[in-house]
Amino acid sequence: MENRLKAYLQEQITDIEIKEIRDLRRIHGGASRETYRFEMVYLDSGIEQKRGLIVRRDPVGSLIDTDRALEFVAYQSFYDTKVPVPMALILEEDEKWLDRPFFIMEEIADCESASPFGEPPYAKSAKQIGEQFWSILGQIAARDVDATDMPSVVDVPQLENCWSRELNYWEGVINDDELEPHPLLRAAIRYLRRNPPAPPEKLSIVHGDFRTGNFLYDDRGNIKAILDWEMAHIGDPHEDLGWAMNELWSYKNPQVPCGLIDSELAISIWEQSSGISFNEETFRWWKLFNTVKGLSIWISSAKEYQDGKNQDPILALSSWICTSSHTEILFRQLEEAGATR
Amino acid sequence: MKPDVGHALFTSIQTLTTETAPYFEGDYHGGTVSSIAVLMALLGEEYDRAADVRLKSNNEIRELFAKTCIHLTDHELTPQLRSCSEQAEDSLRISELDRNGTVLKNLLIELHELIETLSENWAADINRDIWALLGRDARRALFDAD
Repeated sequence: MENRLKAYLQEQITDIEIKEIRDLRRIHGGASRETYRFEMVYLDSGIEQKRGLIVRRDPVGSLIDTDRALEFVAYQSFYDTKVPVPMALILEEDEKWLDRPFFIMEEIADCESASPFGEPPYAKSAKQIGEQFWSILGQIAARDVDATDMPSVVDVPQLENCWSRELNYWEGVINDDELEPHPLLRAAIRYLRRNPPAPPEKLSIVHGDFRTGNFLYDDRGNIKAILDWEMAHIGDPHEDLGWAMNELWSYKNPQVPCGLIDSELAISIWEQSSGISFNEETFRWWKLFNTVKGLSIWISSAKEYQDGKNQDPILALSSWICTSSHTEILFRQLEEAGATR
Repeated sequence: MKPDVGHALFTSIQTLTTETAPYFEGDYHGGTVSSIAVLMALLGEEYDRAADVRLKSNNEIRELFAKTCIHLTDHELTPQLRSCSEQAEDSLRISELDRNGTVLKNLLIELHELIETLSENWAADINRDIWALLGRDARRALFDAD
């Protein structure tokens, strides 16, 4: 793969001489694409330089079926804004280079991401990271959709259709991929349809997977990059809030979503940063919806694994343990909503 | 079967995490080895409970169908509900329990959809029973690690 990458990059970047692709290795970086990091060593005006890069290649099968162009454009949409993202450099759809389409972006070095499971990971940095985290989410919601290329790669729904577009999509995933019937999930979908949310004040770019595990931070507690934009779309900004505040990645303490800061403070930071009013009822709908969406993803991962398209054990793990957790969370959310009476 | 399945899995997990995974520390494959170890831990738990969880779920759905048939006497779903409610498991193989569970749960989805449209008191009772059953199913499926 090193030689193929070198040949590809040399063809794309003609004003430098690429000497070597060094330290290429696969890393865990989202379940929808194969992620590799490497160092490109090159001569620029006769001086040897190096640059850390990331290649995200389409897999044979994945947790989420998404278009790599969408993820690429999403990164571009926030580059050089208050939302920290790596620079997306090249999108390649031609399979002749690396067997499958891919894109290349800069590597954000000397950072880590936390597991959304296990013990809360942020310790003394939780407050500092939390304030940034919710403020950045507000900035994503505040971004002018028309100032980006997102409308060229995703549907632009009517305000009143944001909820139905998303619910239809994820119900479709369940219909296509479920290996066994899910009576509770089907009941939840009917409940969501009977009780739709109010339309949002405005359309926003929705990250679609904004949570612990999908951002990089340094050892001084600074968030350096928001990653995993493969489910980005245009819709209701409350959707991202509902996902980020999902109990599954709250380390068994829903009052402190993502193991960061108290949810009330989080919402107030988000409101201030986004300029959008928080609507409790709308939020509750999207919170419930996001548990349905989570289950759809785990159902899809089970199908990919069972079909043998992708044998990464993380797919089997997520389809077992996340399905059981999310199913129980879904029941409690429906109970709290009064649906079970 | 001896040694116990749970014990064999636990021993293998120990080998994977203490002897194998350290060779791959910081590497993509190290993460894969750790994931396989967690997967094996879940398998051990699932091995022990699989038949129990499925049997209870299938039997509770059958009981619910039987109760429904007392009131829902003349509907297109009634013959199926009655037929399912009168069946019993003749094998505790997981594949058999799953096959029967699929039939029962598909019918439960249809019944729940129907019940939600009815306004009679008995339908409200059945609706509550369905939700209670769904709650028990959800809790039974949890792993220790959840």
